[in-house]
Formats: sequence, C-alpha cells, structure tokens
Amino acid sequence: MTDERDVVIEAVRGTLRASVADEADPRAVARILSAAWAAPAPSRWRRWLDAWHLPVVSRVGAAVVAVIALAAGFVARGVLPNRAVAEPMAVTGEFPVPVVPASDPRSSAVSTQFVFEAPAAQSVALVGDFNAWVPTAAPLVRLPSGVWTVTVPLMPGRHVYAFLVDGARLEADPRASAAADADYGRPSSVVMVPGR
Amino acid sequence: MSIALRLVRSSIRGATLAVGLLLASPIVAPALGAQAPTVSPAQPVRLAIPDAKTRQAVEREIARAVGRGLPPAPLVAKAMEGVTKQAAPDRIRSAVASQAQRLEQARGLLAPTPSEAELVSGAEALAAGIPGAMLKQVRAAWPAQSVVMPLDVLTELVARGVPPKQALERVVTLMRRGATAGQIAGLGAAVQADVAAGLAPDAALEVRARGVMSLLPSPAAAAALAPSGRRP
Amino acid sequence: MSSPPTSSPIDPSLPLRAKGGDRQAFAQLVELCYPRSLRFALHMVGNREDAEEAVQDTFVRVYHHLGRFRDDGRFEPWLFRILANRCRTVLDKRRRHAEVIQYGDVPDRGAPTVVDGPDWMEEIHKVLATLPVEQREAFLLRHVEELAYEEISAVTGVRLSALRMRVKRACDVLRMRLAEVRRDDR
Repeated sequence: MTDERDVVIEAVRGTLRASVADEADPRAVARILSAAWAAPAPSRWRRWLDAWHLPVVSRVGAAVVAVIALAAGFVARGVLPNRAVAEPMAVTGEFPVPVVPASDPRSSAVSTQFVFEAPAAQSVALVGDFNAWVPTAAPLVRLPSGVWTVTVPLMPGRHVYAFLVDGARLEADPRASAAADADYGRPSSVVMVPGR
Repeated sequence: MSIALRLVRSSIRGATLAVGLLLASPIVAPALGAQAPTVSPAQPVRLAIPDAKTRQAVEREIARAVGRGLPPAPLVAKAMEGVTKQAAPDRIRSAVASQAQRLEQARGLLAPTPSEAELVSGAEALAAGIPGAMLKQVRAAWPAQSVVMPLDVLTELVARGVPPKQALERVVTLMRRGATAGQIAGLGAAVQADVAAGLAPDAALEVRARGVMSLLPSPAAAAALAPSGRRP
Repeated sequence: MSSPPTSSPIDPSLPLRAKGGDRQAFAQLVELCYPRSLRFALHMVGNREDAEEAVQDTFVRVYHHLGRFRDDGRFEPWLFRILANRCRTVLDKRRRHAEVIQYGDVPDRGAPTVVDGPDWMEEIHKVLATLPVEQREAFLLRHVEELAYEEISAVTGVRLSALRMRVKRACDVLRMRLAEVRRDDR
C-alpha cells in the first residue's frame, strides 16, 4: 500500500505532533509517582508471582496479619532483633498508607504537594505528624532540575512536618511557616490543609 | 508483689496494649513496620528506638496511657518523632509522657466524647500554650460538630503571634455565626500567608475575620439557628 | 512553540531497572514517556482533563504490572497498549453518560478546545471526533506517534492488513473534510 501522506495529512500530522510540549510537567509527573507509590513497589516475591501470573495476597490482609503479630510481640516482650537493612531491591514504606487517597470520593483527604530544593542530596524524605515521622513513608522524587517533590493525601487541618535529607539531616521547609517544638526543640514547618 | 502477680499484671498491660495497637493498626503498622523489608507475617517488629532501656520505658508509658483509655497512635508518633529528630533517650520518654498528659487533659476539656483527631488537635493546642479553658469554649460553640479545624486554626493563629484571647474571640464568633470548618481553615491559611508577607498578626486576623464574617448570615439569623441562642 | 516530543527509543535498561524496584528508573520512564502519552490521549479523548486522568491511570497500571513486562520486549508498544485501553474506557464512559442523561440535542463533547489558538486545530479535532475510535487510534499511532505497523499490531491486537485499512480510511476522511477548510483559509 502506498504511503497515504500528502499535503493535508502532513499538515494534520505536524499540527498534532506539535500540540504538546517536549518537557513533562513536573507536577503531573509528581502526581503520577505518588499515585503509583501509594501501594508498595513490587517485592521479589510479587515479581516471582507475576512471572507465573499467580494471584497475589492482598496487601491489606498482609498488613493486618503483621500488626496482629506486632501486638502479640508486645505482649510477649520477647522481640526478635531488627531485620537487616533493606536490600536495594526491597521495598520501603512496606505497609499500605492508611489514609484513603484523595481520589476516593468518600475521603476528605486533600492531595498536598511538597517541594524541596536539594540538588546535592542523595535522598529526601517527608516526615511529619501525618506519617508518624517515619522516614520511609514518603520519600521525595528527584526531578532533573535538582528539585525534590512528593504529593501525599492529608486530612484537613494543621500539620507539622520537615524534610529528612540523606537520612541524617532534618531541615525545615524554607517555603513554609515555622512550627515551634515544645517537646524536642527542633523546629519544623506547618501546613494548613483546607477542607474540601 | 509476687512474681505470678507481676506476670499477670504485665500480661494484662501487654494485652491491653496489643488491643490498643490493633485498634490503631492503620497508624501503627506503617510507623512500626516500615523499617523492615518484606516481613514474613510470623515475625514481630519492634518500636524502632535503638536504646533498649528507652524503648522499654516508652513501651511502658504507652501501655499506661492505653490503660487509661488514651489512643496509642499519637504516642507512637511522638516517640518516632523523637527518634527521627535524634533526641536523647530521656527526652523521648518524657515527650511521650507529656503528650499522654496533654491527651488526657484534652479529653476532659473536650468532653463528653471527643474523637481521636480532636484529642490530638487539643493536645497540640495545649502544647502551644493555649489555656485549657479556651478549649472548653471551643467545644461549647460546636457541641455536636468536630472541633478539629477550629482548634488547629486557633493553634496556628497563636503560633503566628496573635494574642490567644483575640484569636479565641474571633474563632468562636465565627463558629457561632455559622462559619463552616472550611471557612475557618481558610481564615487560618490566609492569616498564615499574611504574616509571612509581613503583616502584623492581630491586624491580619481582623481583616481576614471581617472577610469571612461578611459571607455569613446576620447575627439574628445565626442566633435563630444556634442551639444556645447566645449572642455573638 | 517548543519542539515536539521525539520518538527516539527508550533506553531498554530503564524498564528493566524499574521492574527490579528501582524507583528512580520508573520516575525517569514517566518523565520520558509522559509528553507522548499525553499527546496521544489528548487527541483520542479530546480534552485535557480526561487525557491527564487516562495518562495517570496508565502509568499507575504500568507500575503495578511491570512484573509482566517481558525483558526482551519494547516498552513503548506495551505502554501504548495500556494507554489505548484507558482512552477507550474514558470514551466508553463518556458515551454511556451522554446516552443516559441526554435526549434530542447531544452537546458535541468530542469537540474540545485543546489548544487556544488557530481554528485549524479545532477543525482537526472535530474531524477526529467523527472517526470511529479504532480508526482514530490507528491514525494517531501511525502518523502522530510514528509507531511501525508491527508495533501498532502489538498495541491493538489487530492484523496488519486491517490496520492499514483503518489508517487509510482515517486519512481519506481527514483529507476530504480538511482539504476544504484549507482551501477556504487561503
């Protein structure tokens, strides 16, 4: 079959191809990454299951079982030593984030984007009262410009947070108002999340 | 005390904590489990405080609080905050104890049945230096509705430098005049931004409160709706 | 206007590293593929909001199903297959919604103002909207996203000969309707 292109088709083609900018909108990319990472990244076990196309145990179910075991552990007071630090391919933020995503119409949680400039950093994590200050719960993603970002669902109200840089250095958000810290004396930042 | 009795009491405390943790599992699970990679369900995970003595002291503190009917999640979060902030072990223990105390105080002030979120917001308000009596007044303004947002905004206004009495007066007035939680939140965010831009906190509050007020029904109409009928 | 998204092949190690749990690799994949994905979705569904939703949904699915991506496979056809399905879902939903709530005059939802600019783009979109979905899809994949027919066959699951026919028909309609517009403009 001959090439169908001619003047009109070329014109259509040119216009349609030029209709979108070359560079991805970083906010859109950040939203996508947050949505994708709301569930944990595939573990070795999951990938093995995928390769055999076997059904996967529900993540919520696994988390509930783990918590029951956790409670039992407290009762027993005979806890085992912490497991080794995660391998590069293993998961961080293992358990499902408890807040119902903002895309769920039942939820009043609001998608809130955090941005932090740190071109020289190797890792940046968002820690705050909404994720129990756990460094693995909300890692930021580095964009080519050296800006780090993450979008998380937050319940309306006042939230205190900070950024943990390279796993060691806690920094307040230069773009936000400061929050005093009566308990630990390490100032952090405040975000007021509006209700919907 | 006999060993058997001690064991029994320890088990009861432990079991109470276990139940409390189960109930708070959506918060506790990521807090305590997130450090571990692919956890096989049979293996328990411990509170990630490196120092054993501190960890046990914090566990006891949390167990005591749960025994008094307080939610464990905010206390676990307070402990983890200390770990992340690399606080000294003693400081973590006393921070958890202080938070437990504030939660208990808030529970009394926001009676009869405050939600966990209201308790946490109340505890934060107390930590910010807001007098307990003010929490009671916030509750009285909205006896049947969640006061999380008014408390959070009150805390934020005071944090920005608004005198507590003025902040309370404005927030409670808006609550009684029928402002929504969203409108009150908007007030808080606006004052925050104004202060960051260099406005005096009290002036910013006056301007923004007036703005919200202009959107609300007249005092007569609001009084007709309000259960207490108290004039603003 | 900035240069259009290129069709240069993705570094094959990226999807493999993403499959292995490398989040940075996945983030890079999203950044590289987002513009083309958005462009395709935009011209398939006709408005930005639906297009962004379809693209986001697609990448989330890609992330969750990386385990099924064959190590020797090409990433873009795999991505476009998921994206094309998402777009069709959006269009189906919209059609059902329109059927449910409207009688008589159906507002022309297929005519978006994607680019606030020349009428030419609007005209193109009007014509695209009149094409059957499978013809629109085949035309966009072939002439805008520049996939080879073999790759489009992998995306759609349709035989090569049927694909060529779809593209040809789409071109015939576009040529016929838009040649008049261009003549009028001169």
